[in-house]
Amino acid sequence: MTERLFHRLAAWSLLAFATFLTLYPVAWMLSASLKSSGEIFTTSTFHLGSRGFGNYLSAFGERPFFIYLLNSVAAASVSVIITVVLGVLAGYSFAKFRYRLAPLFWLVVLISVMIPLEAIVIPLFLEVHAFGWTNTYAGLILPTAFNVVGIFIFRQAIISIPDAYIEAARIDGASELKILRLVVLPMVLPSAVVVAVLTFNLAWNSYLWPLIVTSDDLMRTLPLGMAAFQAGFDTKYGEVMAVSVFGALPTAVFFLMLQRYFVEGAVASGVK
Amino acid sequence: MSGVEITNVSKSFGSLETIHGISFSIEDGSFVALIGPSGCGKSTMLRMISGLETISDGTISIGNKLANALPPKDRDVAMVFQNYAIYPHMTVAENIGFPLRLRNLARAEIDKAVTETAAILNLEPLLKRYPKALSGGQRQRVAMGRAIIRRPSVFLFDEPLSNLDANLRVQMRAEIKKLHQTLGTTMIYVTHDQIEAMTMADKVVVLRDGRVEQSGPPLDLYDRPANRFVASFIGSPAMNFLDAEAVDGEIRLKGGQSLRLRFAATHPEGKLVFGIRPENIGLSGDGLPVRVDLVEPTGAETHLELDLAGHSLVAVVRERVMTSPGDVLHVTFDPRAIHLFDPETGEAKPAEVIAV
Repeated sequence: MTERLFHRLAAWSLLAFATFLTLYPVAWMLSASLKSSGEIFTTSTFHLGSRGFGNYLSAFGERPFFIYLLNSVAAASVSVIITVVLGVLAGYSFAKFRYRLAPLFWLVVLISVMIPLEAIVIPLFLEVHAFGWTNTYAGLILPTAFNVVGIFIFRQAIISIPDAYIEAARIDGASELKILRLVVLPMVLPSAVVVAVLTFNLAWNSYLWPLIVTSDDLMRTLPLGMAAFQAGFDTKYGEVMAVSVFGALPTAVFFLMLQRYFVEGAVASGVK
Repeated sequence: MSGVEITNVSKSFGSLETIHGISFSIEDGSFVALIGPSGCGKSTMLRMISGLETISDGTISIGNKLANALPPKDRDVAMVFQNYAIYPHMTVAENIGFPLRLRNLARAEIDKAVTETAAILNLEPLLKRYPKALSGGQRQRVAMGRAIIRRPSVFLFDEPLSNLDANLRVQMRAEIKKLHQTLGTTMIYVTHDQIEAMTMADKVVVLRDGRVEQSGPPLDLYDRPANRFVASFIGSPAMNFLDAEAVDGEIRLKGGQSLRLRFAATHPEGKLVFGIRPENIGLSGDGLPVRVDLVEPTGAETHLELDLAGHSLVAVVRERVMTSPGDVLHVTFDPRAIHLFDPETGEAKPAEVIAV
């Protein structure tokens, strides 16, 4: 009895410690967003400061953050849609079809994962510029919209579906697209959520590409807007934190909404 | 409804041929079992009929229509899989109605058909459940429901009962047979269990290594096996095979022991394999002396492992035998129930034999 109590106490303390480590920076960010620059480094984390929502008001007064937010939401959403749709199509193909060029295609996928954006950013920019896509949504979103990891996650998930499910649907008269939509996709839903969340985050935090391809202030995304407050020698921490809170909220909401599936899927697909 | 005609069908995977020119026909409305040991090609055969597997040579016709190049959905066949393949994200009703949903039928029409099908299979109380809340037998019935609702011209079953426990298997066996009687649709049933094949089918096709060993009504196969393989595969416990020879018109065991059986007509001398089913061995005071090695009473019958002049022999007798290992009993062989095989080829060598 006492041993069980001890184990329980130990587990709870460990969890409490981990929770504290995770939440402390968030708390710091929240409280700093309510403080003046002077207060941030002189008062405790749990001091609520004197600025109230002043940092938020001045940040939004200075820059069009709602436009940035819309741009970010648009970029991330299109990226998620493209990645889920193309990823599940490619994943199904790689998982369940045998054809002569499949190994070659798979090699191309592997290689494309290994090339970092930084390595190709100049030629990519030149190409996009040649399209006349600089300072357009197409240029901002499409070149980096597809997250190749989506193919991997879907392929792994679909491989584990027994062939009989697919064959049964085929005999019953389903086209391949219907099999994908009505049989395969519902069975890999947790993995689809993992792909969606990972891709959303990737697009949401994307910095380099939007920085290069946009020069018009109204085409910018949130991370670029935040960076604007760190210019030169005068970093306005209060405003930066206010904007960070604003930028973190949508991902937090998105994650909480899909949390149940995400945990299930992350365990199933081995993604952390 | 329609019959199925398999003509010279072969299947190669790369350079490896696994089905070597198989031919057999399945009459309209009949129940045919494909049976054989694992790797004999019975499942591949079924998949080729369904269209899930292409054929390398020959022809398959379903309902007098050449099906070689037809995709599975255009063959008007329904298949029940060994692992059921019912969709975990759909309720029982949605699973059963799935084939009709694919045909874009109206909601009301699908519901009506689902209710009718569920009634045939006693699934009405379960329609709103998900597969994870069903037992193995119930899942099997849902899989059959999904096949029935389409009213296909041919049903294909791929070892549908092998994931069930013994009791349930016997029960589902009877249900499938009744279903065949109710629907009257052609059914092709793959199994490795000869009891299933014997009890359910009108016709049994025995396959081995991608060839048909024998096909015909189950009792024909039991009574007149074409070769030693079929003789050993059909019937349980399996037929006894004893090395023997024909000497002076009489059958003797290797080693000289007489079996007190002789040929009714002149018969060439030489080696042969003597086959007798355990149930065709009788106990009789004036028979051949045998030593008892093992006694297995099952209640309804008694299985005896016997030693006849150094040859081991299994007998199944209906009467209760009070005996124990080491005892000596006397056995007789029913001369109308013996089987003779060529020791080289295994082919049956029918001959009329009388008791001496």
